Amino acid sequence: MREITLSKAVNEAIAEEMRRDPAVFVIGEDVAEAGTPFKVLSGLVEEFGTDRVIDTPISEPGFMGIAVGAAMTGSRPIVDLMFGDFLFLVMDQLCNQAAKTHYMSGGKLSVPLVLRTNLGATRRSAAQHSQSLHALVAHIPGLKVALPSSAYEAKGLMKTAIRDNNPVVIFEDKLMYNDKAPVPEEEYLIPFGVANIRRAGDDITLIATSSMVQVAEAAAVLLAAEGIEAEVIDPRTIVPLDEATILRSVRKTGRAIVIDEGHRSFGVTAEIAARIAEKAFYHLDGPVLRLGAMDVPVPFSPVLEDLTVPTPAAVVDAARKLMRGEAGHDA
Amino acid sequence: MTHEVIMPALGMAQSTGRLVRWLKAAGEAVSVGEALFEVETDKTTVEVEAQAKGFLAAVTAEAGQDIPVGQVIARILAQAGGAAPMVASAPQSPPPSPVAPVGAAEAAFAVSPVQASRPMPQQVGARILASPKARRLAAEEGLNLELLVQAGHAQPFHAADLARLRALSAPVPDSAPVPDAESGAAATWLHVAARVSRSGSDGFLARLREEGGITLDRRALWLAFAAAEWRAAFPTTGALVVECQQPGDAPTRWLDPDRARLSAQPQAGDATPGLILRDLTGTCLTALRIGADVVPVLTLADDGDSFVLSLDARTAAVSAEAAQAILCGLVRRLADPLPYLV
Repeated sequence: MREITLSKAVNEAIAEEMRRDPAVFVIGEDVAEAGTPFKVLSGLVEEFGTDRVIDTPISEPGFMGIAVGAAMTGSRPIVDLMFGDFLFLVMDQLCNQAAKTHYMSGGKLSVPLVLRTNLGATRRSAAQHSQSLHALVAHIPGLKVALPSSAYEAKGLMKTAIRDNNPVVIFEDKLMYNDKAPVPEEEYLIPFGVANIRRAGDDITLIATSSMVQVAEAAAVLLAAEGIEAEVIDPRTIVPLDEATILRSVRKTGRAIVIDEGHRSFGVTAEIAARIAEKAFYHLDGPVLRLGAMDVPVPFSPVLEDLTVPTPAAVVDAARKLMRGEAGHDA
Repeated sequence: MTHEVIMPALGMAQSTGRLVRWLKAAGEAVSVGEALFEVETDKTTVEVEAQAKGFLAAVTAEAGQDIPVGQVIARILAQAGGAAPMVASAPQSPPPSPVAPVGAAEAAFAVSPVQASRPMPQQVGARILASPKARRLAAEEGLNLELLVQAGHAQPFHAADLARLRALSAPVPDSAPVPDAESGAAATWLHVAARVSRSGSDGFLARLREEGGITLDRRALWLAFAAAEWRAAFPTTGALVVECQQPGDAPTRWLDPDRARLSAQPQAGDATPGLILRDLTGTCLTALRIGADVVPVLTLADDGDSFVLSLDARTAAVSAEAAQAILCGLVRRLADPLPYLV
């Protein structure tokens, strides 16, 4: 199978859906000629013109509001938010309007909108351009949240998101745009709420999202060398969450570590860990451990920045503790 | 009401303060704003005032000590000598303070220093520490985690400890009383004994040696025969590990000794044994019964020109009929081994 970059996979998904459905359009900063700072949308404006690939001024609340209105009235906008950190600017449009309009209108209106943005630290972009804020929107009922972990997922999830009749937020890891993965030529969609078991194992379950899937897989290789067989699960969407696959695995292994690049406190890892504790408690042979970004603003210093995100070594360390029965004894 | 007197933080980077002296004695009345004690930091000596009115008590620090900021060093009680209500308000009886309390009434308030973090959990009350999975598996199998505690295994228990627990547990429900050698033996234990002349097996081994030049360990013969009789009595037995015990020696375990060639070294097994062969030959003992034996024990001992064979087992594991059949079969085999060799 051919291999393409995550960037190209997103580009293909959007182009295919724009050809398929004239109601789909892209709006955001530097999306047309510039093709976004990460060059993800290069070539779209040449094919679809400036009416369907719309450059805006620096005005996130404005173009987000335009998109919500357009979605209510028959269009299917893809809003390009240059950095995930700018979510704070569009919170009212996204959380109070897009997420609730279907409910508040008694089902008369829908908001088929995709907000594509990014997450991920270690790009030396400092505290205001490095956050992983997906937990913020996952907290709001009415928003679906997808976290592609490779080019394959990026394309399949994007196409599903564009065809969804409700608002979807997709977070791409900005460090993975140039990572290649096998992506079929033929069309495919990845359904929401279906986790992917990336690696099977009987000893410990590693549940990881986005680029942390790579971290978990690297850790699994290291653990296998020690005779510990890890099962790696990528939920692919955290809303909806494929609880059944996670619980089935944990019931088998009795041990789980959840890895996500959001801040460790009050985040995605806590939610998944809590559900495991609630629904698979009597199968647990140790506490569910969590690895996330440190609870600090992402440092600009490269040395410090690298310390804030989970690494394969950190996962291996946690897994060893869990296997030895040493986890959960912190005073 | 009691008011806690703490070592105050007088500087940004201060972690401890040195108590220079108390300006009030335990039991003495104090009022708000009165100087209570003196603290020396790296720069200055400061008088610390009382924040509450009452009587100074529970003084746990003395002059000259360096005390962590925030630590309670005394209390101010609303009433003099009001020990009883204070005891009730104390969360738990703390370990003895390193500093001798000033009076008996204050002893209840002696505050222990901040506890160092400990690597492993400590037991709280009588609750056994075990993972939810270990607890569930034990409950499903009717096993009692208490046996692991009694055997001295470290907590918390995990699923991996279940193997140990199974070995410690009887095949009867764990709620049944474990009989000791004297009283309950008749009800749940069986003991069958038999005698067989040594000449049959001794003669067979001697002939093999002299005529065939084959030297066989007689214990290999016993292991093979015991396992074969066991399998005949319990045809559904899968892999059978027999543990061979001999006073003074470490036990050895053998996997399916009845299926191995006698002349070959049988394969070692490390699984939980299904049967123990206790070899008392060469000793003055003819029987050795240990009350807590969970696995059936077949004992072989010398008695003049005979072997004394006995089988001890729980009736839940081995019926009287099966025990008799096993022992009689074994006697037949040892009386004349040749026909039973494949």
